[in-house]
Amino acid sequence: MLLFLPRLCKALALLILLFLIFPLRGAGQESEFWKDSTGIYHIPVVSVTESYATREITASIPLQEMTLKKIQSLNALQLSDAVKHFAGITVKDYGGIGGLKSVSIRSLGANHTAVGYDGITLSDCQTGQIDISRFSLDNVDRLSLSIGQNDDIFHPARFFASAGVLDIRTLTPDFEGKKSLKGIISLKGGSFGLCNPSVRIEQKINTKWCAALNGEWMSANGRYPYDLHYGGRKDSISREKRRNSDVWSLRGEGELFGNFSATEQWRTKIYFYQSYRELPNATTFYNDKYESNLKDRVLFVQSQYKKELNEQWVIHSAVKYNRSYQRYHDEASLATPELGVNTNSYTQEEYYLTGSLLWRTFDHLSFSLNTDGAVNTLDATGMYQFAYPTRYSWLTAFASKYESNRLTASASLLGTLINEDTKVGECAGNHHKLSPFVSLSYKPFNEELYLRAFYKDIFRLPSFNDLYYSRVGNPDLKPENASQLNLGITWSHVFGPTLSLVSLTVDGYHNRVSDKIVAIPTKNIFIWTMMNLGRVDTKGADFTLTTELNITKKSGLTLSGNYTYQRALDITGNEGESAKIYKHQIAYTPRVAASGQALLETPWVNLSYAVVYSGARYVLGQNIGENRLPGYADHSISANRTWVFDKKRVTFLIEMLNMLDKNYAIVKYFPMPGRSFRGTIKFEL
Amino acid sequence: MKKKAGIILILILIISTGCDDLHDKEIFNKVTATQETAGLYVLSEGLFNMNNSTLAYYDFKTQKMETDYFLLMNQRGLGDTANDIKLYGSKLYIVVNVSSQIEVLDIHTGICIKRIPLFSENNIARQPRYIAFHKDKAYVCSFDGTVAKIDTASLKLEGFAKVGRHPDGLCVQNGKLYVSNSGGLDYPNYDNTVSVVDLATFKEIKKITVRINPYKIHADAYGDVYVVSRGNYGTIKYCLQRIDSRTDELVQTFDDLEVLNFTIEGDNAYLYSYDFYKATAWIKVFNVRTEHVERENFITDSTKIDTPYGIDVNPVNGDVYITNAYSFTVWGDLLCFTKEGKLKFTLSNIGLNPNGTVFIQKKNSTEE
Repeated sequence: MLLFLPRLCKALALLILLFLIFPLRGAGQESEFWKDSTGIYHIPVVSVTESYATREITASIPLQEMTLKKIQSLNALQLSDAVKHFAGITVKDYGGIGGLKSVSIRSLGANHTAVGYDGITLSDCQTGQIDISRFSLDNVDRLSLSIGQNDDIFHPARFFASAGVLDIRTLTPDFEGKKSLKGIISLKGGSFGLCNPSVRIEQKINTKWCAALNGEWMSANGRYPYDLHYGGRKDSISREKRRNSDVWSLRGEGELFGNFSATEQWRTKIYFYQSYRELPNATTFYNDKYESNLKDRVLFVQSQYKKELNEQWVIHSAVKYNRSYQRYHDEASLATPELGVNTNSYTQEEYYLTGSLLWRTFDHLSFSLNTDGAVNTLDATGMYQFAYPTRYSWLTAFASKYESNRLTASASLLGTLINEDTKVGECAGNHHKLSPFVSLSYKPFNEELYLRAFYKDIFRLPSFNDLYYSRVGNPDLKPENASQLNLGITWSHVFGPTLSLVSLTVDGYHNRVSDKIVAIPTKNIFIWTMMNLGRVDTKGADFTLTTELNITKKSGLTLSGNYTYQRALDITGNEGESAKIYKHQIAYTPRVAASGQALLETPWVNLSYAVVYSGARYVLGQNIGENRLPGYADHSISANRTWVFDKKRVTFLIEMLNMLDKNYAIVKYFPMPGRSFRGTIKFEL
Repeated sequence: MKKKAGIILILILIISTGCDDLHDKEIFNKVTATQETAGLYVLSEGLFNMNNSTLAYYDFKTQKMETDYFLLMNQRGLGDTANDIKLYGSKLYIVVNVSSQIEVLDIHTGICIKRIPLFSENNIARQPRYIAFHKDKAYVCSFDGTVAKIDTASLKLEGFAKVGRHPDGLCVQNGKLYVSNSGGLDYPNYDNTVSVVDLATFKEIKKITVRINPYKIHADAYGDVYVVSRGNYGTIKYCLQRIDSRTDELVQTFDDLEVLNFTIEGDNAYLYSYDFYKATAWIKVFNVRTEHVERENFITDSTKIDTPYGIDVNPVNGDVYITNAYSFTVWGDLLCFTKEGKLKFTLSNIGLNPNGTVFIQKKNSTEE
C-alpha cells in the first residue's frame, strides 16, 4: 500500500492542479478577497474592515500583526529584521545578510515555529526549521504572529500543527479606477556593498483575472568591521573585517488571480529563489582562514481555490509542489579530495495537498474540517550510507468556534499520522498523535477589555537530520512534546481626537517541553547524536503597548513597544551531570527582551525610530560567567518622503542602522554589523 | 490622556531595564589535599567555534584555583580547541587545533614566550593535534598530514615531514618518530597506518599497518610502542596494539582491550575505555614489562567517572589524574587517585572538556 502512496499522491496532486489551473466557471464582481484572511469567509459579528489593532485585542490567543506601514517604519531590509519586533520571539541570527536566521517562540525552539507564505506553510523536513534569511520584505504586505494557533478556524491543518505561526502575506493587486497596469520599481543601496533592485508589475486582464510579476536581486559583500575581543581585564581588542561573506540572491514570483465572484476565488503562484552565500565562520582567534559556501535553489508552485457554496458552507483546497536544492562546499577542508568529502548537496521535494470545509451553523457557531496530506523526500550526494528518507504525513484538524459579542471560544483536535520509509538503514517508526487546543476570550464590560486564555498540547517531529544524518542521526527518536498555557488581558481605548488609540496586552504563560531533542556526543566528541533527553519549564510574560496620537490634522505619532520576561529553565534532572544545569536558563534565551518603535508622520517627512533590546544570554546550558553573552540594544532611525505627480508616486528613504555602532553578537563569535546606512528610491507607476 | 500613556510607557521602560535577573551561578572549587607538587596546569579544550579553550592553574599551597590562567597572564584567550599540553624543559607547550597555533609558555609565570602559527603555503590551517619531544626538538603532528619540527631553544619552525592522513598522535622511540594516521576526516575511509619517521633525516621510512583509525600512541621503556585504534565506532572495535621498534612490525593486538585512551608511567600503563553509545567506562592497569593486565579495575573505592576524557600520572608520586567531561557541554572535573586507585580529591568545574594535566613540582625538583 505504502509503495503506491507517493504515486497516488502525485497523481492526485496533478489532478487537482489541473482542476485549479483550468477552473470551469466563474462570474460576478471583482473582490478584494485575498487581501485579508478574515475576508476568506464572512463570519457574523466580526466585520472584515476592522483594524488590525482591534483584532490583536479581541483574539483569544496572543496575535500580533504588522501592516505594510508598520513594517516600513521598522527600518527593516529582511524579514528577520521585522520579526525581531514581535513580543515573545527570539531570532537566532548569525549576522549579515547571508547569516542563517531562525525564529523561536517563547523559548520552545525554532522547530516549533511554522511559517506560512500566502496561506500555505513552508516546510523543511531536513532541518525541521525554516531559515527566514531568504525572505526580504520587498513584496510583503502583512506579517502576523499567532502564538498557539490563530482563532480563525478555517486554515490548512498544518496551521494547527505548531506552537505558533509566523504568517507572511505578500502584496495582492489592487486597481483603482480605470487603471489596468501598475508597476513598482525600487532600488536599495547601502553599506557593505548592498545592491538591491526590484521590480513589480501588476496587470488587470479583465474583470475576473489579474496577474502580478515580481523580481528581486540582492547582493552584498558583507565585509563589515567588528571588534574581536580576546578577553581578560585588559582585554586586547582587534578591529577586524568580516571576510568570506559575499552573498547574492535572485527571487522571482509570478502570480495569477481569478476573482470570479465575491464568493469564488482562485490564486496560483510560482516562486523561484536562487542564492550563493559565502559562510563567514565563527571569528576564531588567530585563524580566519575559512572558505566555505552554500548554494540554494528553491522552486515552488502553489495553487488555491476557495468558494462559498452558500451562507453556510465554504470550501478551500490547495496544492503545492516544492523542490529545494542546497549545496555546501568547504574549500579549506583537510579531507582527502579523492576519498573524503568537502562538498555535500541535498535535494528536498514536497508534494502537498489540503482541503478544508467550513460549516457556519446557528447564529454564532461554526465548525471546520481541515485535512492535509504531504509526501516529503530528501536526497543527498557526498554522504556515506545516506538514508534517502521519505515521510508521508496526514494531518486532520477538526475545529469549532463560538463567537458572540462578549464571548469567543474555540476548540480543535488535530490528528497526525506519520509514516516513514528509508532506502538505506533503519527507519523511524510510525507516529500517530492527537493534539487538543482550547481558547477563550471574554469581554466582561462594555469597555474594550478582554480576558483570554488558551491551552495547547503540541509536538514537533524529529527532522530528517535528527533521525538520519550520517553518524549523528538517531532513528529511535520520539517527537518532542510541548504544552502551552496562556492567560491574558487585553484592552484598547479611544480617548478622543488627539489620543486616537491606546491598546495594551498582557499575557502570562507557562510552557513545558518534554522529550526535548538534544545533541549529545556519541562515538566521539566530534560526532554528536540526537537524544530525547531534555525537559524545559518556561514561565514568562509578554506585554505590548500601542498608542496613536494625532498631533494636527495631518500629523500623527505612533508609539509602540513590547517587553518579554521569561524563565526558561532546564529541569531535566537534579542528579549526576544534569545537576550542573538544573534550573539554569536554557542556552541563547534572554531573561528579558524588548523592542520599541516610534513613527512620526507629517506632510513633509515621515520619521521613524526603532530599537531592539535583548538581555544577557548564556551560550551553553551552564549559567556561568564563561558562557555569558552580554545583552545589546540596536537602535535605528529613518526618514522618508513621498511625492505624488500625476498619480505616480516617488518615495525616498534613508536609514541609519545600529546608529550607536554597538558591537554585538546574537550568536557568540558571529558578530552583527555596526553602524551602517541604506538608501532607497521607489517609483510607483 | 497623553500623560496616562506616557506613564505606562515609562513604567514599561523601568520594568524592562530593571527585571533582568539573569545572573551567573557560583561554581565552587574545593580541595584540601597538600603534597610535594606545587601546582597543576589543566588544559580544557572547550567546544568548536567557541574560542573557549582554557588553561586552569591550581596552587596546592594557597589552594587557589585560577580557571583561566593563560588569559590572566596574557590578557588574551587561548583560542579554539586546544588538544594537547606538554611540559618540556622550562617551557609549557600547548597545541591549539582550530586556531592552528602552538603556544609556548614560561612554566613558572605562565607568560607566552612565543605563539607559532601553523598554516600551509596556500594559507590553509594545518590544524595541529599533538606534540612530542626528542633532544632539543619538538614535533607536532597536524591534520594536514605533516609533522612539524620546532627547535626548543629558538622556537623556530625547521621543517615538515609528510606522513599519512590526518595524524592523531605521535611519540618517540628508539630514535624514531611514530605517528598514527587516523584518516578521520575521510570517514568512512579511515587510514590504518602508523608512519615511522627517521629523526636524523626527518623523512618517513615506513608505514606499519594497524587497525583502522589509530589514535593515541606512547612508548615504553622496553623498546615497544603502544597504539590504540578506534575502529569505526561500530562493527570494528577499539583495540590496543604493540609495535616493536627494533623491527618496526606490529607484534601484538589486544582484541579484548577496547582502549580509547591511555598513558604510560614506568611499568604501568593506565588504560581506559568509554562506550559512547552505552555511556559506560572502565579503567584498567596494564604492565608494559609483563605485557599483561595487572588490575581489571583501577578504581578500588566507589568513585564513578561518567566520561573519562584525559588521563595523566604525576611522576613524583604516581598519583593518577583523570578528567570527567560529563556531557561535553558542562564544565568537567579533575579527579586525583592514588596509585592504589583510591580517590584523593576532586577539583570541580575545572573547565569545559578538560583533557590534560601537567604537574609543576616544587622548586628543588623542577630545576634541571
